[in-house]
Amino acid sequence: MRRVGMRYQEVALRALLIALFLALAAGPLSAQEHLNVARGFGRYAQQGLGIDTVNSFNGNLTLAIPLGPTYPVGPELSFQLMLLYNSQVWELQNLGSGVFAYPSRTDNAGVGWRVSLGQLVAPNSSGDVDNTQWVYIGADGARHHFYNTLHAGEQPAPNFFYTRDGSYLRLNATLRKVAFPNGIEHIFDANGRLHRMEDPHGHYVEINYSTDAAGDVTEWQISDSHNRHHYVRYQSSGSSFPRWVVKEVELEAVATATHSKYTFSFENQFQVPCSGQGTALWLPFLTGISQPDQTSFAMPLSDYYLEPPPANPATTACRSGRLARLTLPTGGKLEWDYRVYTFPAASTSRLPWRRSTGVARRSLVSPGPPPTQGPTWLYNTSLAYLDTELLNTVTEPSGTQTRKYFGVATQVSPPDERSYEYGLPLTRRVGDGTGTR
Amino acid sequence: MRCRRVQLAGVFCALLASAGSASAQLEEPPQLQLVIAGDTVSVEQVTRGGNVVLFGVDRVVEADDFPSVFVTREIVRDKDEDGVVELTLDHAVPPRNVWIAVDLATGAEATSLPSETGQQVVEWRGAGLQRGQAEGEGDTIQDASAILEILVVRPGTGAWSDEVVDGGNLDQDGAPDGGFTVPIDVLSPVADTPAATESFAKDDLVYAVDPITMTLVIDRAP
Repeated sequence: MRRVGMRYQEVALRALLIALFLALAAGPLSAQEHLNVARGFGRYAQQGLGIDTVNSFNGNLTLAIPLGPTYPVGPELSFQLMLLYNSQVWELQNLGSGVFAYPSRTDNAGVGWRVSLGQLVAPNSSGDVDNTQWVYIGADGARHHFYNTLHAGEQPAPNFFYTRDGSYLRLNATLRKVAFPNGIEHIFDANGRLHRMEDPHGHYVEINYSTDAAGDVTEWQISDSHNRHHYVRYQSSGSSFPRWVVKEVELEAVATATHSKYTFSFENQFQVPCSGQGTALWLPFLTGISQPDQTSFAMPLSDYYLEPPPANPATTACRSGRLARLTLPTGGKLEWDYRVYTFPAASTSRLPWRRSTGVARRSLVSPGPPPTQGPTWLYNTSLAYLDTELLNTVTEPSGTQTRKYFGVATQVSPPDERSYEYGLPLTRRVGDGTGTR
Repeated sequence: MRCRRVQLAGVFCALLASAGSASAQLEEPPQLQLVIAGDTVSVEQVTRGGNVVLFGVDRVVEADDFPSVFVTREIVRDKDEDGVVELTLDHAVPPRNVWIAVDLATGAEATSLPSETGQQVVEWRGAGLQRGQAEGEGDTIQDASAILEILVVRPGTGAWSDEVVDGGNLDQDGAPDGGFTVPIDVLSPVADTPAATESFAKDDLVYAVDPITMTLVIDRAP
């Protein structure tokens, strides 16, 4: 048991380092899709626990599984492939008089799972993303919208765009080049796929793609200025969502001529999405990742919530298709259950976006035998103070409770600074100790 | 610019009509021109006084990036016999759209599939148009998509169209199983078209739009 714990801590440490790497590589990670249902780590709301992270605002569960080591390329430039999971697995669209739901179109490794080094989407240019502005989708799945000036009221420069979410990305739209605050630049091809990462000193990572007749990616070839070569290969999914899924990742080992492989396994399953019209979809679920050292992460179909959506999703969490359990290479498990995170009705005109299915419970399970339920974290959210604040009370295994407040004021009259605080981690109900504020 | 072209064509056609010249109509039917401007879809060079099938799938992305798909299925008559028909929608046509126009008299067709949006004409993801194999077995459309907006046009007769969902009420097996088979006689008539027949007629025009990816299949019955 203790040994398992040690291994888990190692995995947790790796994941934390990876999260830090992502933060350094891509700037502060935040989503700019509607915060109620945003994917990604969440800039202000994340609670990193190890391999998994819970967004305390909307309950989104994020998992980061490293695929191989970090490859240093230059003083500031390095890269590492990651397998990311987001529990916000469903997308919605109005269709006729109803809502049609399907898995996130940017996922490429089964429902909720994604292997990516980032994506740049021109306005109205992609079948995977609905956007009227330039959008950068980070490796974690979070979306960053570009504006023609960094701040409102500034003089725009033609073809240059800026994010306003604290990530400080600058886009040269003509060259499809995104500059990060650390001087690294990412250049994307006409299809929005990352083609090159480079630093000011001539170091680079280049990615080329093979596609099928319909233009869907079937393989990446990654090379760098140190002449290392890596591959990401796809297989047909047998589904429309998506048509191809990542089959294996082949990485060149450091300082040896051998290659190491991560192999993904899938099982297809009919599943009814949340918030749709009840149409079951034939979907690929990631069921395992075999690592080069013969260990594996496992999440068989029985480790997903495969129940249908509830009759009343306003009171009962729609867990359909979301990950329930992950078996670590050590044999220990992580388990999650979900609850409804409710947001003010005025926060969005989209009824399904007024609530989110977020993490309610996170548990560790020792491998046994017999498997034993270990430490548990609980998340309990409510709206407070006339729906102007969202409170998430996190109970840790020790019994310690942390109250996390977020501003959710939506109808401030007359408008004041609270109008701009939606999703920010603050409360106006706690004094500063002086008795005056 | 496009609107202006529609107006000029209309004036030109009106002049032709007032001169009583019929000679132009005896030549090869001119190619249809599909013109989209704002909330208006116009088709030029149609058979004067004839009917045009208009089929549109518009993916409107609203300010919060929430997509709404509007499907239009209409037959529009050239009442003023100027060779131009026009349809005004309740929304502006967005950048991601698919529009089909078919002149019912001639079978001439025009398509709008904006290339700058990355949209493509693709093949069926299944068997596509299938003739009934046994006596009394009707023709079907088979595809592995989860959902398609389908249009069948029979020049001289009319058009049939529906939204077909894997496992939906038009799917022959009624079960979500990774694709659908839809008998063509269950498709809904567009406007006053008679009920669909069990079999394709030769050269029936068939279109299918995926309302998620906004790709288009174009086919013709053998």
